Amino acid sequence: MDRSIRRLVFCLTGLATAALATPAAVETLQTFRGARKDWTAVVPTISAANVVEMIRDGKKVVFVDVRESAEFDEFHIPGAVHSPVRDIDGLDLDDLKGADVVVPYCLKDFRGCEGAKTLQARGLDNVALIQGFGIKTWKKAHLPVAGSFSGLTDERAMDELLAKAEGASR
Amino acid sequence: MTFAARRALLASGLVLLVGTPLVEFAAAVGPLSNYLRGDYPPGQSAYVMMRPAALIAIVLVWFQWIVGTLGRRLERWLGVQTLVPLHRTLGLSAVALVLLHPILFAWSRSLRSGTLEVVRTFFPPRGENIWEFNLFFGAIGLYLVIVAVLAATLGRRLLPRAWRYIHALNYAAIASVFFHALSVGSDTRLPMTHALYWLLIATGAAATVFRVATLVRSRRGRAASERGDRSAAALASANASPARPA
Repeated sequence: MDRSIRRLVFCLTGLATAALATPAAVETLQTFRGARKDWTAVVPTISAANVVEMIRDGKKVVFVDVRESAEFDEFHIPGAVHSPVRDIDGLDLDDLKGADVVVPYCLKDFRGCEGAKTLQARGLDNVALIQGFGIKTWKKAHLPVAGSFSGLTDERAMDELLAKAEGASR
Repeated sequence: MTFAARRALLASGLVLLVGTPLVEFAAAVGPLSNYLRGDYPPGQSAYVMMRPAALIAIVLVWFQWIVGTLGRRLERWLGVQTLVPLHRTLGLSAVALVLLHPILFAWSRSLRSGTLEVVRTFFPPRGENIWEFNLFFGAIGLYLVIVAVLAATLGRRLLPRAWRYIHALNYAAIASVFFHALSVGSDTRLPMTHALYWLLIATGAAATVFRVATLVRSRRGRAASERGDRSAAALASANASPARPA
């Protein structure tokens, strides 16, 4: 009896491992073959530069930070709305529906992508991810962030962002 | 309650402990078949699949914790001669899933951001942010688990006395892994999973305290009985020695 239970446990473990690794293996194979679908047709992306231009031109861009509170307090895109990814279902969409673009993000958009899909499923059609993924791309582009790391408030960080946008447009 | 009923109860409990977080996870991410269709940015499928690996692994690790601390009592309660073979089997299964979790995470990072991200997953963070710091506790737990399991599998022959002490590194691994799960886990903040994880920690800690108390008591008892034996032996030899002349 004991041996059969152990065999069952080993088989279940093997099956679980294979099942969990399969989607990643399929994706890797598709990537190497160049056969991956264009996922941006489903979740569009927008470059950080385009976003900054839109903000400079007075368009309404709403960032939704889907990370945890401690991460948000460290640094976030100025003006971002904070809503951890598990709370996105309860986020009030009235403000977001009127936006020109809603950009959910996290560090590299693993959680950001989940947030984007949830918002799309809730009926928003103006959702996009940052091209290059996440706030790491934003910081790599030397764009200002608010929070304890930079010591900037949202207002000061936004002023710096607009100043950069003005400088870039000249 | 019969032994068969107790075993069925234990098996049902384990299924519930594994199933509850998996159900919450599935409700949060939607149909898993979507991740085979390529509707997501690169690496998203590996990122999503690493989560159930961790959710199953941590329950197995908790069960190993309980078996390791209360093994003999559990054997009597279940009416089995020994749980050691099951402990070994579940331990290896837990290690397989514990390894799969960071491998899938590193895989997802490399698909999204390039191969160097694989290295970052397994090495200490460079002081970037709290998330990377808390993430690294998972790597610490992984390394401790590997050492502890190697001690139990290979170390029994090489270090017949010392392997148990190295195997006890699992306690530090468990602390590290639960901290990692509660601080960065995507699914551990879902309400039922969160409550369940605290229940696992509380029961494991209670079992450990009980085990330590039992060990201390038995050592004290052994020391006392050794002292008692020695004084009884001394008394017996004093009584047996010939009477001194007047």
